[in-house]
Amino acid sequence: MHRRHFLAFLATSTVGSIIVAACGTQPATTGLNLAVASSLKDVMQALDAAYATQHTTAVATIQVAGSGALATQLIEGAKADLFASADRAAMDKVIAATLIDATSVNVIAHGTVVVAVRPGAPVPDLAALATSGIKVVMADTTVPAGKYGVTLLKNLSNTYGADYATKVTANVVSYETSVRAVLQKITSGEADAGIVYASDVVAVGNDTVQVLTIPAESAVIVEYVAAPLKASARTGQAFLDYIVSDAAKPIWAQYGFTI
Amino acid sequence: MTYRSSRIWWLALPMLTLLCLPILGLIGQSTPTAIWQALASPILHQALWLSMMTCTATLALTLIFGTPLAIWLAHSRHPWLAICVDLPTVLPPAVAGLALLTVFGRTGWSGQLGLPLSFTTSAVILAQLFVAAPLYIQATVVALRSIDNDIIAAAHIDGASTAQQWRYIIVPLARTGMFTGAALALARALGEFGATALFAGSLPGRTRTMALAIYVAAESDDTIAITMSLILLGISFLLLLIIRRRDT
Repeated sequence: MHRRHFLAFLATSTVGSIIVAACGTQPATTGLNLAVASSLKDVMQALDAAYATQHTTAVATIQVAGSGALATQLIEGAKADLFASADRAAMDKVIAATLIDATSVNVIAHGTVVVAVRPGAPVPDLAALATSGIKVVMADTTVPAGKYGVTLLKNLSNTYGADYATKVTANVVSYETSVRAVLQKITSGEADAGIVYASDVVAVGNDTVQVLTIPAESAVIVEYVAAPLKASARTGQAFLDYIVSDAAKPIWAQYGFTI
Repeated sequence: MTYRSSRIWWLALPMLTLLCLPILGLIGQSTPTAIWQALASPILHQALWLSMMTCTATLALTLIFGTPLAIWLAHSRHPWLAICVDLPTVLPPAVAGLALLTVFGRTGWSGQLGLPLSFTTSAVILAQLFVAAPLYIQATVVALRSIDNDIIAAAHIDGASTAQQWRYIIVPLARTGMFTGAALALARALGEFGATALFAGSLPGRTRTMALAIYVAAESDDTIAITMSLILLGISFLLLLIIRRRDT
């Protein structure tokens, strides 16, 4: 190849790849485009698969990230038909950016917060979390799971003594940015216990961690919300109607959620 | 220069844009008042202090333990050895973190001996050392190998002792390369993220370095995240500037 030809080839391929990259921002499938909080990833995939077979539509493209990160992405111009968030704050950010109508927000499911324990760790019950030397991992308070964790410890202090939350917090060895990262620290055997969503324990498999359920009087209930985006060409409403219907209930339950 | 480079600029532009624009974007996102406010934040102080402490320790350990290895590698004929030493620099960060856990974690070898290092500041230093030290070692090996053996042989014939050969010939000739390697290693240690997150965790004041604190802050407070990024950027820029000035 002559040098001149080579340069021409190089230039064309550069321009070509830029065009391809530009097109890549819109998914090529005809299915829905869902922006989904990390903790909802598996259940949303299952719900979508069931929906696609019933309605003979293509399966959805699912973008997964933390709720806050997704909100930022949507505000910065990412395209989606439906946004499902693990907390109201992230949803409110998108509403404030006038991308979602506040009246179109639906509560799609509820989740619970539990304590996951490494099998073999000296943590037989919730009281043992306050024992000095136990390695506890929590989510950082910058993500929803971290805020729920703090609430949970405060609730449990009513049962286990006023200094319970302080003692457990003193045992925290790491504040992670996602529940999955908290679980990873436990499944890898490094940490003894962590505060996580019940649904995430289902996702990683029950056999790798033990679960301490929270008594009803201290339970922290997580509300998951979803709404279609105003600018969406294909409406996410039909899918939204499906996931809050009775038909979807068993799938939610299978993944550790309640409606 | 035997080839003409004057007309290549328009082909060079896309890559230059890609490399420089995000950095400029980061600078453009910040305002002096936001930087000033973030500078007063205890989150930043804690992370910056931890990063400085751990990176200093990493640099010291790199020089103390990396230099003998580099000297050995410079004279060794085993390519496998060199590859093993280089490997940590190209591993995905998560792999480095998992690998460190298998040795220094609770279930790892040191954990079995009752000394698990995960979730400690030592783990942060080990993670930095694992990914950064090879950069110094590589540079030092190259610098040592580039010294003409005849010079050392001549010095030997003229009666220079081994210590004198090192003092007056080898170190002065290899110094530039070693210095560049050390600065590169320091810059890499400062930016270490993945292995630290997996192996050391993220606890303010103990294991949450600048790189981890930026990641956490980005979840909620972009202003602090961007300001911390700019500080890290500034330090890295200074380090690279020092390397450039040394090279020329």
